[in-house]
Amino acid sequence: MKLVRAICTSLRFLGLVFIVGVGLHASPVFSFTPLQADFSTYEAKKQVFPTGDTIKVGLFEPFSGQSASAGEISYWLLGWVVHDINSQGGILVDGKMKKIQVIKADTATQPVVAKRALQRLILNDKVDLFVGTAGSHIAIIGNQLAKKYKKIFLNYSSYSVHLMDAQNFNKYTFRACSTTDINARALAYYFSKTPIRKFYILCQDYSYGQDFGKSIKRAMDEFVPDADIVGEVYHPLWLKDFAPYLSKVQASGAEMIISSDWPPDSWNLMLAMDQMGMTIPVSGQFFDDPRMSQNLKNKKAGIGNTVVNFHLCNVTNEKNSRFNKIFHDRYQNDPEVQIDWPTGVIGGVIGHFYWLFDVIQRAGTLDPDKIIATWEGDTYETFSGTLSMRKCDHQAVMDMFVSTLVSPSKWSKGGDRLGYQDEAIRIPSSIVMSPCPEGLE
Amino acid sequence: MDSMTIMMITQGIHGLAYGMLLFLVASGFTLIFGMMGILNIAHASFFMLAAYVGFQVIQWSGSFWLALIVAPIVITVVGIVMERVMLRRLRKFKLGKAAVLFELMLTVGVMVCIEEAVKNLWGTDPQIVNVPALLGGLLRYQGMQYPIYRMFIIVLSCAILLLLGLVLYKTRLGNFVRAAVQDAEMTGALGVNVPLVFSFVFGLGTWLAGVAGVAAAPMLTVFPGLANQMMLDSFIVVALGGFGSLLGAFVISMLLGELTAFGIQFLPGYSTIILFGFMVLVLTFRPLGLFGERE
Repeated sequence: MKLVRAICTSLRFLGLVFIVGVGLHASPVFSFTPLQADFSTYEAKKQVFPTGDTIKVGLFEPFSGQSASAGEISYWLLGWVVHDINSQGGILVDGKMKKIQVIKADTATQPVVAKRALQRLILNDKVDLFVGTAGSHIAIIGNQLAKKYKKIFLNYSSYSVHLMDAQNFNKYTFRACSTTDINARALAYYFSKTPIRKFYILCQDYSYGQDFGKSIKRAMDEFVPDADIVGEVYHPLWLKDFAPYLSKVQASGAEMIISSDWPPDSWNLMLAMDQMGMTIPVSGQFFDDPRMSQNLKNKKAGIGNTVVNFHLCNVTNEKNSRFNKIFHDRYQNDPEVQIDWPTGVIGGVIGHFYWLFDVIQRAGTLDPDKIIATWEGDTYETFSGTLSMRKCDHQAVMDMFVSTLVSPSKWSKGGDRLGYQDEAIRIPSSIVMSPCPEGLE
Repeated sequence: MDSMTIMMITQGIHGLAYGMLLFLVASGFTLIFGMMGILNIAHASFFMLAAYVGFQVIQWSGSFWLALIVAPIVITVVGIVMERVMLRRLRKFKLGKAAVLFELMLTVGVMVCIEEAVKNLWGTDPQIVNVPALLGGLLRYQGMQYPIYRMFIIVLSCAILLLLGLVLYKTRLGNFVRAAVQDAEMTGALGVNVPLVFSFVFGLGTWLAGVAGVAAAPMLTVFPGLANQMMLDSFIVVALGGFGSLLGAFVISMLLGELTAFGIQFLPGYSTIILFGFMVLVLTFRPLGLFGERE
C-alpha cells in the first residue's frame, strides 16, 4: 500500500514538473512572433491604440513642416509592428501582459520644437521609452533627453556618425540603423569592384550631409585610392531648384553622383536630372523610392543608381521572402500606398522595431537598466540577416547591402519599371563596421 | 561653344527661370502690400494650394493646361473670399495702428489653416506633377541643351509681366489701382469704388501666386512644405525691391535668381552668405528697399 501511495505521489509530482516545464519552455501565450497578425485589416491612418495599463511608446518624429512625410512613414511602420504584437496579446512585462500604445510627438524637424515635444512626451504622457527620428540635429536632442530622464531611446533613422561618439554617447540610447561611416564604407567597397572612378559629392548642408561627405572621402581613400572626387558641394535642406547644382555636376565630367539626400530633396534631385536629360547615376540610401522612380520620363533616368542600405527587399533568404510576400500581398493593390515592396528603409525599420520589442519581451520588464543589460551584446535575426548591438557605443553591427537599379525590374510596381536588380550584394560587417569610437571601451 | 560658355549661359538661364518664377509669386505679394498695406503671410500658402489644386485637376482630367487655367481661378476665388469676408470685416473695427498686427495674425491663421487642410486632403507624401508632353524634352543649340519646360516658365512669366504692365499702365482700371495705391481716400472721394478695386488687386495677387504654383509644380515636388520654401525668398524680394514696388520686385527677383545660380557655380559655400549679405547691405543703406518710396 505504501508503495502504491509513493508511486502515486511521484507521478503527481512528475506531472506537475512536466506541466510547469512545458509551460516555461514554450510559453506560447506570453511571447510574440513577428508577422503573425492578419495585416489585411491594418490601416496606418486609422490606428487605434489601447489606453490604460499599456507599454507607452513615444514616436518622436516630424509630423508637420517639410519632413512631415518621414513622420507619417514611421507611424505606418511602427503601427505595423504594434498591430502585429497587440493582436498576439502584447508583451509580458513585470508579470502582466501589456499591449503597446503609441503616442506621437511632432518635432517639426526644428530643435526647439523637438525638445519641447519630447519633454511633453516624457513628462506629461509619461512614455516608457521613445523612438525616432528624422534628422541627426534632432536625434541629438533625443540622446540628451534620454540621458536626462533615463528613458530608452531607439534611434532608427539618424545616421550622423557623431551621434554615438564619446561626446554624445549615453547608455540609454541605442542606434539600430547604419551610420554615415557604415554607408560610405559599403559604397566605397562596392565601387572598388567597379570601373567607376569619377565621383561628385552632392549632399545636404547640415550635420548628416556633411558627415556623409567626410565619411565617403575617408572610405574612398581606403578602398578606392585611385578615385577622383571631381566636385563636392553641399546644398541647403529642402532645396527649391537643383538645376544650378546639376549644371555644375554636368560640367565636372562625373561618372557617378554620391548623395546622402533624403526626400523630398532626393526626389527633386532625380526629377530635375530627368528634366535636364541627365543620365549620370546617383548613389546613396534614398534613391530607390518607387513613388519617385515611376515618374521619371527619360527611359535611361535612374538606371545604374546605386542604393546602399541595411536592408533591401532583394536580399535572398527564407525569412525575407516571407516578409516580402506578406507586405506585397497587403500593399500591391492599395491605392493609398504606392510602395508595394518593403524597400530599403521600410523593411529595415520594421525589423528594428521588432528587435526593440523582442528585447523588452526578453528583459520581461520596462526597467531601463534591465533593458540595457538585455540589449547590450544582444543578437537578433532580422529579415535580411543578423544584427548585434555593440556594447561599447550601442551601435548595431550589421552586414550592408548594395543594389543597382535596372529597368525592367521584378521589384518594381507591375514588374516592368525601374527597380532593384534581381539580387542584392551583401557586404559583410567585417568590412563596413568601424571600430568603437575613441574614448569608449 | 566651349564648355565654359555653355556653363555660363546655362547658369544664366537657370537664374532667369527661377527669378521669373519668384517674380510671379513676389509681384502678387508686393501688389497687395502696396495697395492695401497688408503683409499677407498666407501668400506663399496660396502658391502651395495652387500647386495642389493643379495636381488634383491633372489627376482628374490628365491635362496640365486645364490645371494652369482652373487652379489659379480657384485660388483667386479663395483670395477674394478671404479679402471680403475676413480682412475687410477686420478693417471695419477701426483698430488704428494695431490693425496691421491683427491683419498679420489673421493671415498667419489662414496660412496655418491652408497647410493643415492640404495635409488632411492630400497627405504628407510629396506628389509629383509631370511636365506636359508638349513641353517635355530639351532645346539643343550648338552643344548646349536646356529643358523646354524651364524656357516655358520664362516665356509665361514674361507674358504675364507684359499683361500686368498693360493692365496697370494702359487701362482705366489700372489708373484706379495706381491712384488707390497712392491715396485710397482721395481716390474714393473721386467716386471710385475703392473696396472693389481692393478686391480686384487682392484677387490679382492671389491669381499670380496661383499661376506660379501650377507652373512650379513640375519643377518641384508638391508637398506641405512648399509654402515655407517660397515664403522667405519672396519676402526678401519684396523687402529689397521696396514694399509695393513692382519694378523693384522684378529687378530683385532677377538679381536673386542670378546670384543664386552663379553663387552655386563659383562660390557654393558662400551662396547663402552672398544672398543675405546683399540683403543686409541694401537694408542698411536703403531701408525702404531699392525702389521703395517713403509715404
